[in-house]
Amino acid sequence: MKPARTSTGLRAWLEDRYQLEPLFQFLSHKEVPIGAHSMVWYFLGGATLFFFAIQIATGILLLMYYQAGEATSYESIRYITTKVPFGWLIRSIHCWSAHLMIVSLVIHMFSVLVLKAYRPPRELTWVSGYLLFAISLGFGFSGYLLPWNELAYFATVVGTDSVKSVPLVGEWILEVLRGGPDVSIATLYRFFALHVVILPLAAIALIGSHLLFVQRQGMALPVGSTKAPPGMPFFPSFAVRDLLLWLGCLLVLLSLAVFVPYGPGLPGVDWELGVKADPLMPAYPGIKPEWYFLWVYQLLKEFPPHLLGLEGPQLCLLLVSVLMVFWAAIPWLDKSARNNRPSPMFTDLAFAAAYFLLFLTLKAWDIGAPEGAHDEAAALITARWSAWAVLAVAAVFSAFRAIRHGHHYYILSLAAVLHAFGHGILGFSYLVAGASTAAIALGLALAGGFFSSTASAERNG
Amino acid sequence: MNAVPRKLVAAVAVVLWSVLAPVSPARADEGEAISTVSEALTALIASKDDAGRPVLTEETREQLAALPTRVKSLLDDAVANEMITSAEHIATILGAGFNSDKLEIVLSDNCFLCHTDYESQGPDQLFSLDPAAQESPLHLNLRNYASDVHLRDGISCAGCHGGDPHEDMGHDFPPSWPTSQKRRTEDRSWIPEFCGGCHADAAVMQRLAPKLPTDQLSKFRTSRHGLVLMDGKDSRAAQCLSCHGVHGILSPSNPLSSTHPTNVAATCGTCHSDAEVMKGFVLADGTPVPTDQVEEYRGSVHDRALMERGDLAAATCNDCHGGHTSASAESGVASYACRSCHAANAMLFDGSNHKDAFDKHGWSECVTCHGNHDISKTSDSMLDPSKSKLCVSCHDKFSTPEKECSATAEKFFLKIASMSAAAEQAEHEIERLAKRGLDVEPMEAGLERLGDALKRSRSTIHAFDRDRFAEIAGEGDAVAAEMAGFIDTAREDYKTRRLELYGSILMIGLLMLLIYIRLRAWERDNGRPGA
Repeated sequence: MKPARTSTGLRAWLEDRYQLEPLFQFLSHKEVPIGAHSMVWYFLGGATLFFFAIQIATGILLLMYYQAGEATSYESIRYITTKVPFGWLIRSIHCWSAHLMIVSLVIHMFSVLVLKAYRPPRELTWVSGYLLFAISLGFGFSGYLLPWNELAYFATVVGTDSVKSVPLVGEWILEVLRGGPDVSIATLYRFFALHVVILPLAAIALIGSHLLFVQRQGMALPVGSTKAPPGMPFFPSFAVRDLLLWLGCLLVLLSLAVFVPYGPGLPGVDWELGVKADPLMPAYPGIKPEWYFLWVYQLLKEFPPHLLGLEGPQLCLLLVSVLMVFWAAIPWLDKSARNNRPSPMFTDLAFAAAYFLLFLTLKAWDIGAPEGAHDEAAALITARWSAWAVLAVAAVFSAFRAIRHGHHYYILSLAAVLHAFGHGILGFSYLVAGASTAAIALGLALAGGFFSSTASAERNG
Repeated sequence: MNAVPRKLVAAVAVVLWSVLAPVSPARADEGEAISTVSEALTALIASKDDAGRPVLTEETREQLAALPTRVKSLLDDAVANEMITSAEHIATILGAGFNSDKLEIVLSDNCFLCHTDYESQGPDQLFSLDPAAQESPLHLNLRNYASDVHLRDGISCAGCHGGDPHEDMGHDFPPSWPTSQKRRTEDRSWIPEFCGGCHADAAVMQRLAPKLPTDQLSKFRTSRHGLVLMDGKDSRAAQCLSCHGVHGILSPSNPLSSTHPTNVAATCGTCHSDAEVMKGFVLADGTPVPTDQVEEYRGSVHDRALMERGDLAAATCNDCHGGHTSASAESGVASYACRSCHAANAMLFDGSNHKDAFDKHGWSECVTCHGNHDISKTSDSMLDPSKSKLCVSCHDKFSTPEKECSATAEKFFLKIASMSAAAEQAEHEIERLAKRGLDVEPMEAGLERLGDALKRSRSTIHAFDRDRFAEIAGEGDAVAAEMAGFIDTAREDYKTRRLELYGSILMIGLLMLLIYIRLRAWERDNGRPGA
């Protein structure tokens, strides 16, 4: 009898040694569901992965010239951007890709939330994605300090200072984070280790698990479906489209790096090297963290020094922690989605969260305020502009949701908009406006829940 | 069995008490907490007004409680000796802001204790926290007295007024003290000699303030102010107190002092901007002394450097006119003062052909072109024959209008204007290139050199020498040419970057197109969804 393995070439050679046929079989039969909603959302994870790969590649290239040290960090980055052939390109791509990775990651997370792809059995895919998001923020925070320039130094001083508010162990965490009581070169060394060794290892392990989960379980079906709709073959149809998207992303990265090498110039999205850090200089006003931390930065500013017997920052961090834990636990909290039923409340929650983050970020960006003004009057102008912007964005999105998707649940997003309206336009304090609208939303949600359960009881009855 | 928990409870109670007791807030309640002072003082501290409220505020009681023991003991003594008899008196003394060292001095000084007690003194003799409210002369301000530089060295009332501060009454004035009320209020010519009693005495000053000079009096005697006051017996002229104040004299290095550089113009302006005070004073040519100098000085290049940039070396009144040696502009001293800071330009001028002409006409060398009190920032347009009459205003009148002179000025102007434009354009271009991510380090260094050459060229104009100017300006031209080369290279670099990008876009785009065509073909052949 003729042996089965007669084909020649690399595949046969590998098959002889590793018996990869089941893997090829799996790939050739794997399909991506199509039809229920736009395919766009399936590509965002891939885009994020591409930006991460770019980060690893450009990071390794930067590592060949970067020298961490008080007298070398700033100088080596300057050398990379001015003297090393294509050094400017590599650094610029590294920075752009870092920001675009977070952008695509955030959109990916929101799309998963809206499409309810986290429902069983995919809870751990959500959690691993959530952890990857946290790691990305860690990458951003640790990488920001490495050029050892003035802006990065003071942003790190302000950023690390906020952990002091953690009860009991805050001071200790601060010292561990900084490697001493102040931000010093010791801080840079540990941020460097975090940025190039610890976080990449953790990220690769988590990306591995995340991809494994996705491959093992396949893409989530639309809510309500039990049978897979006709799908697109994963290989080559989906994978090659992914490749095309990656090549497109590469083109965008190259163009941005050539035409806008230091970012668009917005606070928190700017990586011009500027002046070398001098720990003895006083911090200048208007120091801001990177854009994805601006909402926490602004929320901290909205809290008074003391509230409810706690320190303002403590209470703020407590609120942020509660929100974070809630976000991680969404697959378990969304009971409707768990039962494969539509869950309009959590869909609306995604939009409410987006408006909440947008309002704080715009406020932190000082939009509308006169150049360089940081006083009370400027803050009021910014709050008004931000509120109008949120109102406009919410109007467009709500109209789109109502017309295109027939959504009918808007309680949470309405609360987020009312919050912005009450604070920015009516002039209530951020917390008073927030507490009032939260109470209204809770009341409406409970009433809605009561009516719907009554209605379903009537139907069942 | 119950013994152990009882012991445990007791032990916990003891531990809790020992931990909590020390941190329970201390209450300086109506004198009870200040346990180390005498009963008489305690009673004063606890005294209440007619409405039954404590006279001393919570803050004053806390201040009292925090005083060092030696100060409390002096306060006790003053109360025991009946030098302090009311809580209001204590509030006045503690409200003035004396530190504990100064309190130690004043609490053992009977002059002070008596003259701060409103029960024993009339408004003319009473030091208080608010002299206007007490209808007292403004120099009897206790807060000012608390910051006086003399008190720091232990010189209290008797230091100037004489007498024994430890006696009950000691109005034993020093021999140099004016004997009549008229002399004290109308004739101020005795003051410089009186202050000089210590300040011109090297032995005294060596002991009290060795860093201070002792020649102020001798300088003052020869100054314009000194001559008017001491020889002319005109008490409108400034003496020590006019500038340094009284009962609140601060070191000139103190930003609150009336003689701190940032306050000098205002201090001089107190008299020199007051037409009433200056009435009758005339210049050598018989014209009245103007009163608009301070107004002119405000906004000048020197005033802005001093007040906006905080550059304490920038010139104010006394830097040109002298302080104790106050000289008028007519004496020629002020016009030479520019040299002490602008030495390089002065030396260039000395070697120029203008020097002789200026000396011959008796023109003030810098002031003639740049002005004096209202000197504004120099600009290249001063040389522009189409805009400025600076050169021709003299050349037309005093010198044969020479084409050569106008041509020289124009040459200077055109060269400087072209260098200045080159520097400005280079700066703009560097900024643009830096934003595009190009290496601008060599250009920034070049720009600095160009700026330096420009500065030196502008300075060289003071020599009014074409060859010398051409030599320095030539260096600037060379740097400008070098910079233009750098900028061209950087522009080329950026062009190459863009070309490489377009090449990459083309290649990757082509690759994408090929992949897409191949994929569609596969999907068509296999009849798969997505096709």
